[in-house]
Amino acid sequence: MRSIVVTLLVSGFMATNAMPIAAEPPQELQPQTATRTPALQAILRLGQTAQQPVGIILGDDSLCRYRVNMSATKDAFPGLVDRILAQVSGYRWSLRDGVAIMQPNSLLPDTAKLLALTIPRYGAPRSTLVEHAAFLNMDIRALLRPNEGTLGDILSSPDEAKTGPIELRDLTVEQILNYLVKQGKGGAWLLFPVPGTYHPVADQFVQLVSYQDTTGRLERVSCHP
Amino acid sequence: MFKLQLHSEGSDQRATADRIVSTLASFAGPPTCPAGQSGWYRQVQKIVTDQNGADIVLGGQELTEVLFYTRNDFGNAPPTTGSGTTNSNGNFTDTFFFCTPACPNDTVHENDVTQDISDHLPTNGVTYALRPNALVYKCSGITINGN
Repeated sequence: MRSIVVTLLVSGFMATNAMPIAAEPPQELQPQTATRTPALQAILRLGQTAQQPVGIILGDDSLCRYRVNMSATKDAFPGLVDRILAQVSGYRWSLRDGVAIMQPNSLLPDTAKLLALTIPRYGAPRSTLVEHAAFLNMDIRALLRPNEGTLGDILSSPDEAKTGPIELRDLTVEQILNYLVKQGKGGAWLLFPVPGTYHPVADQFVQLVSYQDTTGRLERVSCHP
Repeated sequence: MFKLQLHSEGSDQRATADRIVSTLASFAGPPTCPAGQSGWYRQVQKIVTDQNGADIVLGGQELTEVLFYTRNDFGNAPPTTGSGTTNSNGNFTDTFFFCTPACPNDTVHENDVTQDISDHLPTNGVTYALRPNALVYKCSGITINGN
């Protein structure tokens, strides 16, 4: 795995914490440095820089509440993620199927079930990752509520990166997500906390974002759908 | 169609509506629909027009939308939406899809939806509410303002 030049050296802290802010990074490191970046955003930026596909299973909003300061060094992706997660209690990561997957130490039972759901057939025309997420959410909903349909509309830029057409059979939700974020120059998937009782409000189970995004989607990713 | 470039900072061009430039794809689902369901997929390229009906050929317009049912015969879940940005030609892509266990056999029912798009113009920082679009989703196809 290639080295990258961004890392997080300063201890992370809660957004509401009154701890002093660390010294600003050297000016010449801009724009690859940032201060008080939410851990979630730091992970996504590292993944983008290293072109390492990432999957993030959210158990709560810790990855958004904990902020870290970014400074410059030469290090590899694994060491950098270790440093980030060392500042966020309750999360660990591992490399599975070529995707760096962050997850709570205690995975909620319904979350594990959702990731292990087998989708009989996932099909999509050439689409943006945002559209793929909508289609996959539709497939998940069809398994959970087979009598209910889905209707949607996605706006996008004609210049956004696209993947497909795709047809996959008998893969789990996690396998499909991993497949999608490994296409092209890669991307990241997020799985939002799955409520114990399924509810239509929670229909947006997964979100996908491309590392090639130039429309600000990556920066807008948060811990809530 | 007359095209107008946004040049001057003092332009009073106001985003007012959107129009279809071309249909990129239109077909019955599957392939996008889950097993046991069918429906329709339609993807169009659009451009925003101003108060005079002229195209706004401008990149970086940030588009967001709200969809709400005026008729939901199929009892579908709340609509899924997504935001977009225009490219340097002022174009954006609008992808419509729906799937239901009632299709492909149903010939009677439909879902009617109003699409409210908001357009944030980078030139003046103002967000405009575009003229609402009337969407009709049937097993036989998806229409946008009757087309």
